[in-house]
Amino acid sequence: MDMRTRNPFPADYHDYINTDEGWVDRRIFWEEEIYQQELEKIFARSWQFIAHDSQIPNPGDFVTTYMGEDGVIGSRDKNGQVRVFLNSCPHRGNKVCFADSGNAKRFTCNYHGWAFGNDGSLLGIHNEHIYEGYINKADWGLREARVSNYKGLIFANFDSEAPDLETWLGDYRWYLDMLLDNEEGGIEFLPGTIKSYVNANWKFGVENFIGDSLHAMWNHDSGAKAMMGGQSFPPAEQEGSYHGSANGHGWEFATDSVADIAILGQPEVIEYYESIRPKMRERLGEMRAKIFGSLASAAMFPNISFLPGLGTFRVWLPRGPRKMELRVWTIVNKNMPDHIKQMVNKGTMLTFSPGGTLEMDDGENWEGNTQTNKGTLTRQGKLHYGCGSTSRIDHPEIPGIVHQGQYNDANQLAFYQRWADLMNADDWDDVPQRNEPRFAGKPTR
Amino acid sequence: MNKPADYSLPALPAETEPSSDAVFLDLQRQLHFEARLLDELRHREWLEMMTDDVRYFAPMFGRRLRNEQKITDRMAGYFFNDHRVHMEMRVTRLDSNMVWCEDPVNNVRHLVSNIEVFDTADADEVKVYSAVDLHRSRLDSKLKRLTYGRTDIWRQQEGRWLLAMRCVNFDHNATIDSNLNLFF
Repeated sequence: MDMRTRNPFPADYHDYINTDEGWVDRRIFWEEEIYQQELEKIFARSWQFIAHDSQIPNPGDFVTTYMGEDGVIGSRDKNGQVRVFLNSCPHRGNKVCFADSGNAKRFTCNYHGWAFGNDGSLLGIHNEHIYEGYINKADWGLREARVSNYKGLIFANFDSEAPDLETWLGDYRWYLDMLLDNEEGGIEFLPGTIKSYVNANWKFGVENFIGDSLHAMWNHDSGAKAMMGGQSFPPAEQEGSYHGSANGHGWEFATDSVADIAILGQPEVIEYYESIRPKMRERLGEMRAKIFGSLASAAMFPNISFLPGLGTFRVWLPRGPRKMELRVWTIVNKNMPDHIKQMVNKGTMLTFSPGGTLEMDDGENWEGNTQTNKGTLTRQGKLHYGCGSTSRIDHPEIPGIVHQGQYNDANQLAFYQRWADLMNADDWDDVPQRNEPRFAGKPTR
Repeated sequence: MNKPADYSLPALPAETEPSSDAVFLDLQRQLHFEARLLDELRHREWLEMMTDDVRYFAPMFGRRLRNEQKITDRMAGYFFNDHRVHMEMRVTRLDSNMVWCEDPVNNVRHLVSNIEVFDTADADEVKVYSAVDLHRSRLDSKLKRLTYGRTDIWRQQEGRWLLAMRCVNFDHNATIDSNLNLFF
């Protein structure tokens, strides 16, 4: 009998992946025990996306979301500071806010009327006089997370020991600047959140965006042909294209500037980006100005993904090991004229919403990837992640762990390596630094 | 691709009086026939039911507290906001035989109900409300059920009723399927 059936859960999470041989153990996409460990070791300790500044611009503006399975409120307090706290009343535990977003001075629990300010403090209790002498309200606010902001993206983390956001992002800031800082004014999120459920493990969404350009040419062929007048994607070209990864975050890309933008199907959007390209070169340098807009996709550890230039930005919220909630927004450059923003919105919804001509092909694959593992024998197998295993290079300009060729499993494996690093570590000192940062303590633009 | 000029969501014209029984019966027959075309995957014939300037869209509403429900965003979000050219593109994609999640063919049933028909200021156009219970069965164990309301504008043109505008309002705050490979 295969040993794996008798020893189902290795103590070392690196035993679930093999970066040299290029495989991943299927159980990480299925087992409840592993999932519970993810919630503790990854989601309770990682910097996670809460909102963009443009979604909650005014005091009192709030959104609700999740960090792992913990519901949270992200709220701008009266001093303009964003605060993030658990969306659960410390009296009996009910949620204190059931809306997706809005503006509120206080969040009041439906059960007994405990009311919390938009800074999370316990302001008052219905019929408070009966609590006289029984409670110190200062001790019973909503549990608050650390909050940090990188160029408009608001992140939160409940782990007081975790490295600061800049360290967490590391050299990935060099990449992220292409999305957030390719033009004066930065980006904004357009109104509207699309939420959908997919019966798949959350990591399949992340790994698709972090490095899987290969699937596009086969899986999205119907959408490509319909949108590009019968043409398929051009053949896979490894010259001038790369996988780049830092701290488990990844970006796969070519260097021809326009492919992803062209997928929007909006010529005026291409014209817009070409018009700002000279300034982009001055801001970000020649290399990054060539990368932005090319055939590319990207993801940040643990569960953020986006297509730079195409304008879709999303999080994969875990809902158990076999289900996730996908939340999708459209992002645009803040300084774009309104009609260009509308065109980007139109293009992203036509391609990458649940009704989009490209997105529609993906979800069911991930469901199949996940649900087949219900089979005992199926689940014992490994999955092949060996494409590009010898393609690692050093690049004078591109930081992080770099591989030649965007048709590659390198970023995916780097993501799973980071996953295993965090799953194993009880302490942040135990988390290895896999790439020597070039920009430690320095701005990337 | 022809590039339509306007990407904002269109406004639906106001209703005036309830339509005559004859018009009501016409439109009821039309909605049921349309549902059958969609269920039988006769998408090309369905497209022929559209005006050239048809607008087909599904706005997005976040879940807000009651006292904030009236707030409208400067640029309202939507799931889709199609002109005819985009609807044709979707049909072309479905006809490509390379939409893997429609193969094997799924069973789809549009149950159309709650039909109301009203006249509008335009003598050739009526406003039609309906509710749809949409069943979609994929493979053996995957039955998805979507419900939504529709507000349509149907236009009489050369003796036929053509769809000029359809606003789809989904009843789910979160889409319960991994894709919306369907027409509504």
